[in-house]
Amino acid sequence: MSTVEKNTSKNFDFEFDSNKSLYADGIVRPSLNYWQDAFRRLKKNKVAIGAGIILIFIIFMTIFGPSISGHSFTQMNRQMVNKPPSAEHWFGTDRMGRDLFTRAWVGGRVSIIIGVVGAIVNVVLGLIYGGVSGFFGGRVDTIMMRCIEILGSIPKMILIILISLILKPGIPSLIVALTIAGWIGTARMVRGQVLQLKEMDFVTASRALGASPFSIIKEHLVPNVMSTIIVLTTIQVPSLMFAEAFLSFIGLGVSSPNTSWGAMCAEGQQVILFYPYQLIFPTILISLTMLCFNLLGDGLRDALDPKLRR
Amino acid sequence: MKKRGISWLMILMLVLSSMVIGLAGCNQQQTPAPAPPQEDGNGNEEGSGDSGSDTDPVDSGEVPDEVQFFNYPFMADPRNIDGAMTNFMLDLTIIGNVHQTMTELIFVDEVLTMVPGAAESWEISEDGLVYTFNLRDMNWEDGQALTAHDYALTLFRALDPNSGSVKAGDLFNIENALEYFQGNADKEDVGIRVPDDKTLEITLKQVTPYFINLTYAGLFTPTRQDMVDQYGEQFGIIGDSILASGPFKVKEWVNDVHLILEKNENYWDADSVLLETITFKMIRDVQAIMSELMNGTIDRTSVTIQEWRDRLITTGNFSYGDYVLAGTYFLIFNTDYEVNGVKPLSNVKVRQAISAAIDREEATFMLRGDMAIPATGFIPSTVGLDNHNFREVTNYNPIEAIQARVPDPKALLEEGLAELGISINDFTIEFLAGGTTAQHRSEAEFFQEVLQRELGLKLEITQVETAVRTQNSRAGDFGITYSLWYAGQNDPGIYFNNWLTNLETHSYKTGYDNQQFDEYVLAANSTMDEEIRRHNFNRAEWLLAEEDCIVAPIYHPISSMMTAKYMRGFVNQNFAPTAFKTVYTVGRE
Amino acid sequence: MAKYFLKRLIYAFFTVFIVITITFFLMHAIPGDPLGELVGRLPQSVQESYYAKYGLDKPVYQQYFIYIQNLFLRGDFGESIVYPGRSVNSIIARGAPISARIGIQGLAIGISLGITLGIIAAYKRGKWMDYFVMFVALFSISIPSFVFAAVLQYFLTVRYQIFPVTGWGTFAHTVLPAMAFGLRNIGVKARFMRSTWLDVMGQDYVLAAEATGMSKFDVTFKVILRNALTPLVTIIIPELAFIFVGTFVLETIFSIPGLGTYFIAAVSARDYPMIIGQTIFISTLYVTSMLVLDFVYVLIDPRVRLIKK
Repeated sequence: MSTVEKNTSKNFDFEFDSNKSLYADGIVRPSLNYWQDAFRRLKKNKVAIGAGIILIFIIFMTIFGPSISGHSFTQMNRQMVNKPPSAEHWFGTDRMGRDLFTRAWVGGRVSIIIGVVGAIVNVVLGLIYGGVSGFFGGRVDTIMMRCIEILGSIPKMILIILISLILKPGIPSLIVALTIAGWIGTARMVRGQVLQLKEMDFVTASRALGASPFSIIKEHLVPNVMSTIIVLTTIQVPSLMFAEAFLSFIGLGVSSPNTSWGAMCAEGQQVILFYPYQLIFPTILISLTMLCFNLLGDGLRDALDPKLRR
Repeated sequence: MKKRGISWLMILMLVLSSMVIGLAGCNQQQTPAPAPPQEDGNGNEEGSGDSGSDTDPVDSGEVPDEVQFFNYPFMADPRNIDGAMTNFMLDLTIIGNVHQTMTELIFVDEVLTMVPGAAESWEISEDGLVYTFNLRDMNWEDGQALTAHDYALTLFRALDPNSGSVKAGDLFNIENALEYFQGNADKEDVGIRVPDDKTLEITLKQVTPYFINLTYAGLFTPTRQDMVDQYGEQFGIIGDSILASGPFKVKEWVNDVHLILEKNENYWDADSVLLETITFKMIRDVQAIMSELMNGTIDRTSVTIQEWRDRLITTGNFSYGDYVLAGTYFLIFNTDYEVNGVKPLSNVKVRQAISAAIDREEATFMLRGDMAIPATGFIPSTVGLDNHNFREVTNYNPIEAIQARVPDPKALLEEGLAELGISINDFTIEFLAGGTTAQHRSEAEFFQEVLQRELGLKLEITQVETAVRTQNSRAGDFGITYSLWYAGQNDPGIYFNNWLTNLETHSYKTGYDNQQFDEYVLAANSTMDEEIRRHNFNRAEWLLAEEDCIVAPIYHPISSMMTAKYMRGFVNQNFAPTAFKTVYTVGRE
Repeated sequence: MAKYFLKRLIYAFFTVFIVITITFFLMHAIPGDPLGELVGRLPQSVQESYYAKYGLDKPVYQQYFIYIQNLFLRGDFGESIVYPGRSVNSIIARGAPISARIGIQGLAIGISLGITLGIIAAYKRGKWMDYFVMFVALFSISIPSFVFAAVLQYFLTVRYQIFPVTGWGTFAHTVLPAMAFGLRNIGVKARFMRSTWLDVMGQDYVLAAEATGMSKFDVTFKVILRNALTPLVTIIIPELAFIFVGTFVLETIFSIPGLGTYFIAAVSARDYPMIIGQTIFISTLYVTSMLVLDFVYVLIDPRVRLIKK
């Protein structure tokens, strides 16, 4: 990501100084670089922008939501057990009289951290692995791809469960377990792209000029696969949140006193007949978040797709 | 896991009626025993027409249905229908229906009483060492005569070192049984003898008050040698290998789907058996069990979820009875727990302060709603001592005692910490949760919150799966943990064994070391004298739950037996496998 | 070509072997042991005989060699520890077809509805119908399956007693779990179908076909459909491997005697032979399906030539 920002700002400085007069004359339309162009197209996609705004709101609430309710997420209240939503408790209370509004946002914090951090880890790992494999090619590539194939042949859920049991319980362990096999797809995709790019003229040119492999990867390959990566990150978030919910269902999710949307759904599912609101709120939140990440991912893909750029 | 689904599955699978008494055991499963327990003496009877303890069809004047069947849920597949091998409640329930136990334990006029089973009568010698059982004339399902040899075979199979039965330990108080098990004695030397086909004689090496309690469970059921020979490793594991001696025989066993029993016409008391078919349905999810009961596809189950209990009652289709189970939920303190170089729980004042700080009413309500009563002692209120209720005869409530003794827990805590030379901010205590289900989460979070609120004491929750949890508690790798113990037998003795000093393994290693306690327990366990037993058990409980405060009893769980209105003839049984031979239906639609 | 497949076959075998090795050691690295609960309160000597019975008294690497030997010489997955006397082979043989039945019915629902919806969305691209279909598809992906299954069960078995709550044996028992299984598939398949369809529609050969004056019907069903289904087949084949293992969530909620619940139960009970046996089973299926996929590629896509290796 930092590479992208650097590129952008560099170009921007340059354009700003020298093109000012051209703008004024109206002779040349502003020359937009790839990212500006993509952003312009993304802005036209109202659904994606809407999803993005909702996401920002949800993230904002996971940060500040718990403090605006006036209840702590662990505070019990014997008089307020299993109460439906009211002015005092906006999402109602759970079996120990705890405020579900507060808990929903505390849980959302965990779910989103797991989703986002997990997705970033997945993508960074996949980027490095796929990049190295594709760039060096030959024997290195063959061996690295064989390893991936083997890892990919172990059923993912089995791997996740075994790893999460081996590590000490906690959010970092959960992320490690969930990402242990998740980067494989990214790695394959990045490798494919790198293989293609490698044959392109500008890379050949840099290589001829004696650029080190590292600088070629950094200067040329990374920026060029960036769009793929951003899209992948976005659409991986929901699948990680989903996996976390599954782990919560089988009791291997976050440990107490922490909670997550998945854990709240699992608890709510038990009392669906009696206190449906205990299931509905976390389900809406988790579904809405996943939906928004998916919509945003779709929007980004359309916006960043070079084929659509013409 | 859970979602309650798994926990329940685990739970039911793991309900061992552990009776490894002489050695180390107590039953410490996290689990309600499905057997309908004793009627609650504590005012929780809301039962409208509980059809529980009953009634002869002839007396009641009702006309039994033409077609008699009964559907009952199981949460997992039975493992081994072999009384010599299994410790699991599910298996024992099947065994209780396909085999005739030596004796039976039922409520007769509200008192749990042992009544004749295969044994028409039995005698215990003056010195309490020789038990003689006189068998009635009865036959196997295929018509062959049943003899005392068949009962002896089960016991020998349990003691066979090659079979590796988990039940062996229950029998080590039989003369030379341990030696035989270890390969140091011959079969003839073991105190299990068959003087004639109708007599079984057991000789013990020491007085063992609980021994008679084994005779109404799986170990005292018959096994026939030719079946064992024929099926070998598969004996008890596939339906064909199970030869019935009881009221029902196995018709079909489809793993993980159902196990169907049908009436055994060769049962000695077949005339009084009305049911033609019993279907044990495997249903893994508690919610699904409740839904099936609601829909009438099963006829009876134990309900421990208050919302479901209330809803089922409002349908008007069920008769029900709430029973306090023979179990106690209690906290356990590890005196050896060390954190930052200090052992906060080694000080008795700290432990007493924690126990006194917990409002049992609040805990019961938060953790179980109405499906429990606040603890009245460490020994559950439903456990008897030689035909009396233990709590009544001792007239002692350690919880009230400790709360009266410690009016200001916070001050006592400060005092204890001062003795240790530490302040409350110097440490957090590791709280080992019982498992990973939602219920386990809630429990841990409750105590964390309450101790923070009442004492400013910080707990750090460790939540691991049951398999790991068992290891941790055995290794003493916890600060505070809790347990829900169900009695496998109607005797207080087994509750105390875990805290004896000289054990190979403690289920919960707490570092507790008090010779006085050992003496009390051993004195009570090696005599038949009720007075001595009562006194010593009472002193042991006083030490454990009040004076030394190693445990803090919280509640006794309640189960609601929910039965379709057309069902009749259930006999309340506690501690023994549930038998359905007296059951029938009237007016099933 | 035969040589190519022989080589792939050897690779596949090698892959499964490494998977077994990794899983075996990972499994033994989880804390907790399978016999702890059962024998914990027994005397030391009895405990030891128990561990010896299952070979757990030996160092892990020795257990590994014994296991490999039994597996390759006799195809023996061992015996379940939790269910003594039942072989892992027999448990898999019984559970896998049951899981597969739910999976196949679910996939059938998912694929047929998914394809239809995907095509509709592609044709109405940018119209409200497209947005609606895609929104529904996304939504179906965004609901945790246990929530959907529970809601389904509540409405169709308790509120309206249309289907049996749990059980196994008749078609009625399979309807709800298959529906729950299919739901997510509808979303995934519809999204996939829409994008492939759009992709194919923009290809030159489609334009060419249109230019030759083929009817719209013929273009759609003879040209586009054919070409759009090819990528779909390639994502469905690997999925077929996984339907045999079932889904834990559905099998728990609907009490289906498939393999899914066995696996989770085996892990929490540390039933080593069950864990590894099922892993091998799934991995072998998966690797096989990848082989089949290779073969299918060659069959359906003439552009794939086996020159490379």
